[in-house]
Amino acid sequence: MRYFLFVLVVLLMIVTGSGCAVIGRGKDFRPIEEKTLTHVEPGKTTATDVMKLFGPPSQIVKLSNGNAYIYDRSLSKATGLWLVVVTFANYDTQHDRIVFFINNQDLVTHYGSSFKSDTSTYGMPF
Amino acid sequence: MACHFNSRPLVLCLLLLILILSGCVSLRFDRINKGADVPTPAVGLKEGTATLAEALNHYGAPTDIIDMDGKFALLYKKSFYQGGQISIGIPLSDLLFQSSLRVEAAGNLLRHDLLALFFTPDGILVETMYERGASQPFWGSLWK
Repeated sequence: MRYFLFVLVVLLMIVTGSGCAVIGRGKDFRPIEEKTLTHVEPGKTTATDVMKLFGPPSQIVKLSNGNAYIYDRSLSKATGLWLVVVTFANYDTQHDRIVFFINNQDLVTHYGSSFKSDTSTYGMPF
Repeated sequence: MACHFNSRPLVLCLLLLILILSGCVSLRFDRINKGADVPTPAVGLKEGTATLAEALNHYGAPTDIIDMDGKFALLYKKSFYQGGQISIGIPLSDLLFQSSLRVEAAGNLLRHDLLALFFTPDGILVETMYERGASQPFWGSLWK
């Protein structure tokens, strides 16, 4: 009986455990680095300087007293597990983002940054 | 009193059932997380006095910047999607009938954490709105 149970457990494990697992990683890359922000000084740095340092922005928002330049990149991590009857899928996307507020004289007045792409994780949906 | 119940046929039937149904029954669970946690409104950033620089220092770069004909808003957003699906299909068309049996049920829920900061054209914070959606219960939110 014990041998039968052992074989049964092994069979059940093979049946329910057969499947596959997938991990994936996707990056929407822009060459923006946190350390480059040390070259930016509100009131002195111009829009041209910003574009020399970071390239063309991902998005430009027109404001009443100037513009906002948005730089964005993201890192996505995907995890999938396919068992016989059950599928689990998990996606996590995190962004690195810098915004520059530029006045009508083309000077940077403010900037803010968030570097969170490193916090993107693999995992299960539970 | 000793029990002489033989569980072998039952277990074998169960195993057979799993094998047969493995192509007919499927369950799927999805989770999609987009964006970092949205911070709660800072007590120190008072409406009417806090500046754009202070807000950017505290919250970092926003997800979106929206022009509002003079005023503007910074939006911080996190999206959290959970979905589940069960599908049962028994192909009978080749065996007995002209049609097959297929039952499918799915539930998807997309929730958001949002922080909106409204500023005057001069960059003074005038209003803060915060909503925490991702912490709402899945079933309660889905059937509400």
